[in-house]
Amino acid sequence: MLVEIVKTVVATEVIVAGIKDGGDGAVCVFDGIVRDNTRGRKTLHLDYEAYEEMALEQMRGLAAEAVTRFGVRDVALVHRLGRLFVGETSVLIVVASAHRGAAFDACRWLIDTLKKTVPIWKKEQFVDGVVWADGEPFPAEVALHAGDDVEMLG
Amino acid sequence: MELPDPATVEAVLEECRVRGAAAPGLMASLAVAVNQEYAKADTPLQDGDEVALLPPVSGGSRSNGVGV
Repeated sequence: MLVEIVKTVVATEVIVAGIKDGGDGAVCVFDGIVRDNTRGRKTLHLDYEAYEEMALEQMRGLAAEAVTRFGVRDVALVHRLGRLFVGETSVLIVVASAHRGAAFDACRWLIDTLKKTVPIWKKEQFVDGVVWADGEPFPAEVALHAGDDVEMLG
Repeated sequence: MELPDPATVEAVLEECRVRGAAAPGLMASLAVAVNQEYAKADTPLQDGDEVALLPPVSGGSRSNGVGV
């Protein structure tokens, strides 16, 4: 399993080519890229920061859990930090599996879970201002109190 | 940070509230990691533990509430 946090361009094509194996029938790729706007506000760039050691450990855990939970053969999970411009890859998820259904499901679960639990944050630089992106509420498994994710806080 | 013994994650949060370390809305949205693993409010702490207060995370490629 390839699990990495990188500071430079994500080598998407190399990673996708490298994961393929004879028993695979499907490779599902999620390539998360920087969009040119948020709610119509024009974006110049994003700055990603992480609690890096914990983020990497969380990502390793997610990749391993995806394999056991969905029965896929292999997973690559790469997140980039630092300043990213429109169109650049911030997160790459590649899932290799004998069958496509499991590959799609694992890929979707990985991005949805990563976004809620891996300690990475982004600052959005717009043409007319800058803001730390609102995160999603933490799910109950990692929140301070069980049920925090369904309460209306603040 | 000096805390009463036995110390818990909640004691750290209370100390932060007393010191006005963050806005109340942010304090309410935090998760906490102890030695780089997610912890609960009643998680006990030992001398030397690394405690991190984590705002809601926003990794990945899309902003909250907006399509991919």
